[in-house]
Amino acid sequence: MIRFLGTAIGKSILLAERLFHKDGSTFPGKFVIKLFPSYLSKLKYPDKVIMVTGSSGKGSTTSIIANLLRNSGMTVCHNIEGSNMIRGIASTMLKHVTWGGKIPEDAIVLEVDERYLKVVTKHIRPNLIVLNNLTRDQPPRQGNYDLVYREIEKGVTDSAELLCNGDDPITKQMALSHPDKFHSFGINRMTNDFEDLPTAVKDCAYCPKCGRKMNYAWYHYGTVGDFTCPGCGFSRGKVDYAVTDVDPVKKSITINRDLSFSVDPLLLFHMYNLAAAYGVADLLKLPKKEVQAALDREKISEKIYSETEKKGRRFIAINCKAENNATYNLAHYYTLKQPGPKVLVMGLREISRRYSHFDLSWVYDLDLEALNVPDVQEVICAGPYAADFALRCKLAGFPKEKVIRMDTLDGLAKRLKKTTGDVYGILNFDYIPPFLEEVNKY
Amino acid sequence: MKMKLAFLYHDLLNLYGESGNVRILEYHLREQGIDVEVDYLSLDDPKDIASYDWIYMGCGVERSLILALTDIRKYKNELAYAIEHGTHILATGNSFELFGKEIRMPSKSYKALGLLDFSTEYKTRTVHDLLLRYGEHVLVGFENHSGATVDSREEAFYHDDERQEGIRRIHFLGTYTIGPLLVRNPFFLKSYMEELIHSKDPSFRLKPMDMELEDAAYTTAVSTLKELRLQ
Ligand SMILES: [Zn+2]
Repeated sequence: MIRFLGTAIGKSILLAERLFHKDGSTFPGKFVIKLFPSYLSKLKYPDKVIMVTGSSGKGSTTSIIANLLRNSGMTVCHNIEGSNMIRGIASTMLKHVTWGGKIPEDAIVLEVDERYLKVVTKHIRPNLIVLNNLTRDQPPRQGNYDLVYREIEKGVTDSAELLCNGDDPITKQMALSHPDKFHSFGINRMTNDFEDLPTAVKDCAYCPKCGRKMNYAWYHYGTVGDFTCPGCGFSRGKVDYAVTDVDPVKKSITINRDLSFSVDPLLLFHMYNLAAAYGVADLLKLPKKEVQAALDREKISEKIYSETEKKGRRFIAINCKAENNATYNLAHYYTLKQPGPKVLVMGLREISRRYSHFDLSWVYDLDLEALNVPDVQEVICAGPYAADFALRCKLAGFPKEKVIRMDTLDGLAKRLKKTTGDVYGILNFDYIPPFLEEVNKY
Repeated sequence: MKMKLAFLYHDLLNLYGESGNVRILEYHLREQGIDVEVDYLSLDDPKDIASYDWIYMGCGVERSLILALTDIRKYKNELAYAIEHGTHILATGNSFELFGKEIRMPSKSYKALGLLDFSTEYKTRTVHDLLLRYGEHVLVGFENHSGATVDSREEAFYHDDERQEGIRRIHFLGTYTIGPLLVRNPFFLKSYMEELIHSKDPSFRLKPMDMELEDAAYTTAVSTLKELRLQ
C-alpha cells in the first residue's frame, strides 16, 4: 500500500514539477518520505547496488562506475545530479520506480553523503560500498573526520562488501573492523612521491589501532602513503587494486601490472577515482577487456580540470573544494611537479554561504610552504578574501613582490601579460568560469 | 633577544588551520629582530618545558586528545612550574581540557593534569562561527567542540552577559576558539605579542608591525560575519 501510494504521490509531484519547469529538486523525495518514512524500504531493487561515499570525488567516481556498467550492457539508475542525501536519493528513486514499486534498471549507483550513509542503507541494501577518502572537509558541517568515520561505519551493512582507499590509514581502518569483506584500491609509489612532508597537516600520523607513531616509506599527500605501525603491524600492506605504473610520457597508468589505459591529466585524485571504479568492475566480475576499453575512453570532467593553450602558454584550471584542504593540496602538488616556470591563481567568491558559516581556517591547512620554490614565479590571490590568501603566502615565506592581490578576476588577462610561464588556476568552483573567461581574453 | 617557541603535539593537536598561530607569531617576532627558534614536538619527543618562552597546543579529535594526555602527564611538574611562573601558554580548542582535573567523555572519564581548577564534561557538539565583543574589540573565531567547562574556579578567557568560555591563569590562556586565532585577530596578536616580549624584556621597544594583510582579512571577516548574522 505504502509502496503504491508513495509512488503515485511522488510521481504526481514529479509531473507537476516538470510542468512548471522545476524538476530536479529534492522536494518529491522529501515529501514522500515525510508521508511514508518507510517508503524506500518497500521498493524492489536490482541485485547490484553500489554506493560511493567519502569526502571528495564521489560524483566523479560514481560517473565512472555507471559508465563501466553501461558499457557492459547494463542499465543503470544513478543520482547523477548529485543529490546525495536521503531526500535526493528518494527523488532519484521516484524518477525510476515503476508503478509496481520496482527499480527496473540492472544496477543502482549512488553517490551518498558521508553522514547519510547510515540513513540510506537502512532502506536500500547496498552490496558494495566504496569509501574514497576521508579528510578535513567542511568542519562547520561535519565536525571532524573521526566523527564522520564513525558515522560511515554505522552505515556499513552485513549485505555489503567494502572497497576502500588502502593508502589512507583512516579508510584502511575498515579492514580492522570488517576484515572479511574488505577490499582496497590505491596507488603504488610514484617516482615523484614525497619522502617527507614536513609542512603538511597530518590527519592520521598515529596508529588508529594502538596509537604508536607510524612509519612512512613515502607519502602521496597528508598521511596518505605507505604507512606501517611499528607497534601492532597495522599497515598499508598489499592493495588489491593498485595503480602499479604511471607513464608520464604516454600518459597512461597500469593497474596490478596487467591492465593499462590512458589517463590525462595524471592527477592523483583522478587516478584514485579510476582505480576505485576498476575495483568495482572487478568485484562485479565485468569482462576485463571491455572495462579496459571503457576506462581508456574515460575523460576527466571539464568542470574539474581543463587545459587551453594560447600564445605559447598553457592555462590550466583545477576545480577545488573550499573547506577541503586535500583537494587544494593535491592540485598544488600536481602543479609543483609540472615542469617549467608557472604562475598560480587562487581564490574564491563565496565560502560555504549555504550553511551560513564563514571561516577560512582551512587555508592554514594548505601546504603553501611547499609551493614556495623559484619555479612558482607569482601567486595571484583574487576575490573578496584575497587578503587571506596573500597573508597565508606571506607566512609561508613568499617574498612580497611575488604575491599579487586582486579584488576580482576582472583584468586577470591583462595582469598575466606581465608574467611568463604556464598559468595554473587552482580555484573554488565559483571562480572557474570567470577564470576561463579571462583566459579567453588573453 | 632570543626566543624559543614550542608547538606541542603538532601532528596530533592541530585540527583546523591552527598551525597558523605558530606561523604568525614566529613571523612577527622575527620582524622585530628577535632570534626565534620553533620546536615542533610530538608524542615521545623529549620536552624541555622550562626552556620555552611560548608553548602552543591546538585542537584534536577526541582520540588524539587522549593520546596526548598519556604523554603530557610526564611533564606535569614542569608545566605546573611554567604556569605559576608566568610562561605564555596558549591552548586552543579541546587541548586546554588537559590542564583541568578531569575529562568526562561519554565512554570514559580521564584524569587530566589537574593543574587548573576545572573539569570538562562532554555534551552535545557545538559548531559555530564566533563574533564576540572583546574589550573594545570584536574577536573573530570558530568553535567546534563537545567538551564543556564545569566546576571552574578559574578566571574565564572570555565572558560577557551571555557567554563564559575558556580559562585564564597568569599567562596561561585556554579557549575553545579554534583555528588561527592569532591570525584572524590582529588586535589580539599585537597585544599578546607585546606582552610576551615584555615579559622577557620590559625595556624592549617594539617596531611598528606591518599588519596590512592581517587587518584587511580581519575587516572582511567581521563584515562578512555581521552580514551572516543579519540573515
Ligand atoms: Zn599500531
